[in-house]
Amino acid sequence: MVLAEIARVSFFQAIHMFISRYSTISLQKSFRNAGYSNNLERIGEGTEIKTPDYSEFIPALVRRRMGPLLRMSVTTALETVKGRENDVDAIIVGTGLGMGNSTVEFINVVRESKGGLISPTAFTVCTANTIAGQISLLLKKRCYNITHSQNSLTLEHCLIDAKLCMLEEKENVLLGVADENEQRIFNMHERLGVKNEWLGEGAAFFFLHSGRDENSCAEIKEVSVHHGHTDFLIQLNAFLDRCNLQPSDIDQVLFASTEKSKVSMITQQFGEAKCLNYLHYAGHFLCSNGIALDIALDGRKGKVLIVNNLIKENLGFTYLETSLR
Amino acid sequence: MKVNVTGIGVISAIGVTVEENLESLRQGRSGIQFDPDRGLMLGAISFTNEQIRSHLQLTMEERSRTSLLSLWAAKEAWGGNLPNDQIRTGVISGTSVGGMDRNEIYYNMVADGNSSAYDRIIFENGGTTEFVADQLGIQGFVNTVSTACSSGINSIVQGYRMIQAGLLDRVLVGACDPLANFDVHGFSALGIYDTQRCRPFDENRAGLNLGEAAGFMVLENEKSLKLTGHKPLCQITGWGNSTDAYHQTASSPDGIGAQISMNEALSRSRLSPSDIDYVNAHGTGTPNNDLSESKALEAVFAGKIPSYGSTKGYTGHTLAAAGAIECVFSVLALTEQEVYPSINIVTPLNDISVAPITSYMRLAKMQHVLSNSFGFGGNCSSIIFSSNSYVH
Repeated sequence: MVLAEIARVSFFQAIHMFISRYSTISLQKSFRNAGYSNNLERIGEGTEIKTPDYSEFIPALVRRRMGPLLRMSVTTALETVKGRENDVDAIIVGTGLGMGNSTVEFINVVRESKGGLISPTAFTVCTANTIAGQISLLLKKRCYNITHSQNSLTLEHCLIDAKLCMLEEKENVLLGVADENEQRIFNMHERLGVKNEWLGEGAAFFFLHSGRDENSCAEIKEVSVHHGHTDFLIQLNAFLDRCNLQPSDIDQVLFASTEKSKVSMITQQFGEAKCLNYLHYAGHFLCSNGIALDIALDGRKGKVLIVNNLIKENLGFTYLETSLR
Repeated sequence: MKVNVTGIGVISAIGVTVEENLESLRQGRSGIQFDPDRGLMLGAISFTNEQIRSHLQLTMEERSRTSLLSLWAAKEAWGGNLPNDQIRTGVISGTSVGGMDRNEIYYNMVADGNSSAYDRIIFENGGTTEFVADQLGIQGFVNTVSTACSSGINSIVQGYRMIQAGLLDRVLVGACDPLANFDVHGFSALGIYDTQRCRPFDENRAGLNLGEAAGFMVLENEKSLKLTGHKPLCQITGWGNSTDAYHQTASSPDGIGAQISMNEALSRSRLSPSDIDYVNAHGTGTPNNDLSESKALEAVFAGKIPSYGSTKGYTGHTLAAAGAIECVFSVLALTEQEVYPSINIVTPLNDISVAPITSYMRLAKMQHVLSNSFGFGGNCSSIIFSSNSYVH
């Protein structure tokens, strides 16, 4: 199995995938605030998402019909592609939970109607691909458009898809992940094994391209996913081998795990000073690694490894090299 | 790299196995019935959740109907496949509502003051696919696509692309959606139900009927075939994915997104429009979809539209599953060298130059079948299945 794993994503190194632009709305002051990652604040009770004034980004008529998840996704997407709108060859969106709040809104509309006429408005924006659909509508882009929804590994699957797009000779990909805090709807704290005040939310979008340009600030070098019971250390070392890396080569490790044993394995392997548990800053949610990727791009520490073990049976690794600030 | 289809599985209103579905298609037998409880024509599957659980010998905690139907069809497609360290294997499936059939019950219980129901609410887009993978002993690459009613084709296309890129050797792909009250009310609010059995491509069509289904297939590369010894049923040769960028739920009048996705599929297959022998259309029976798709077919095939039809008159519109079960039907058409009639048509649609196939037909030397699925968000997807002999 391990050997098969090693062979799996080797093509990643043959095709380049750079990032030049990115935008994130999160529990941190990340939006339009370069350098924010130097002043990350630990989250806790009362931490709220830091949203901008959306009126600057989304036309009023469209905005009124959008819930919080759509607003933050569309805003970060538009901010990411600003000035490059016509160059987008693919739109790839990931969401772990999709449009949960609209879904419950429609269930309540049905409840309250008691068999009478009902408005379909909430229903029409319930599918997980609403975010990607709205982006295509606003950008008027008829290009490749897809939505992945794979629990805690959603971002990794989006990145793999982006690489497939580049293999298929698409040059520019607008990629993003988003989830809202749906503790009202889903029993997230039990599923993720944390208290409610540690749950997070956010939207993170990235502009990826196959050719390096003067704005390229990072290259996604390797991505891997694994669902199922596995040996964490064997998987980690296999991934490092595939990237031709020693633990000492890594400049920053952004990791997510709620298991003490794994946290100590990671800090022992790489040295505590290099390691950051991004869940303390992004909050626990299925696409929190999108915020981690944004922290990596903002921080520009060099060789960065994102270890995503938010859910025990799902393991994701992302390796990127950033330019240095 | 050749991407072979080696196994298929389907459960729908017209049967719980491939064999039963095939027989219904040949007989022109619809599975859409009046549901007195909901007061609607629906394409419901005859098995209850308990029956499926018992057939599958599942003893674990309750699961959504999405998971149960998925596993049912996935098992039929997977057949005698076994985990194999030499074959990099993945699972990719599509769903639009995930575990909605159960969640809507719990939400309502919570709203009625039963707070303990909150703990039973699950999120199950990715969870459905993980459940199928876990049950079949597949580890590693497990992904879920959720592009509303085009999810089925898109999940099959993701599998195709993973094999093409050399990342997987074998992949189980498919999609499922159950009948949930949520969708029943949603489409009712949109006012697009036909009170009779739906009549895709009929001049007087009045809308769709909802249905439920799951469809799965196994895709393998040549390396995997050598190790499994499977004989391919056919191959996938092309796909298209586009967006209408017109409206959140309605299709554009000229079907521009559908045109792009069909043209992309043709170009990737290196085929001309005239090479296509049969089109399994999206054909939901709504005035908007069928007109838009007709315009797109006219444009892509330049007026020389091949044999085409919609199988929604048999199964109803099964949402995310539609693309997957219609891909299974497309594979059957190709391997059996036959096309299945579009049923319930009285007056063929005026806006398309060729009427759909309305009676069962054998088609000699059928080589290429194209299938379409379109969804909310403007997603348009097409896929082409070709006979084994076609050299891509």
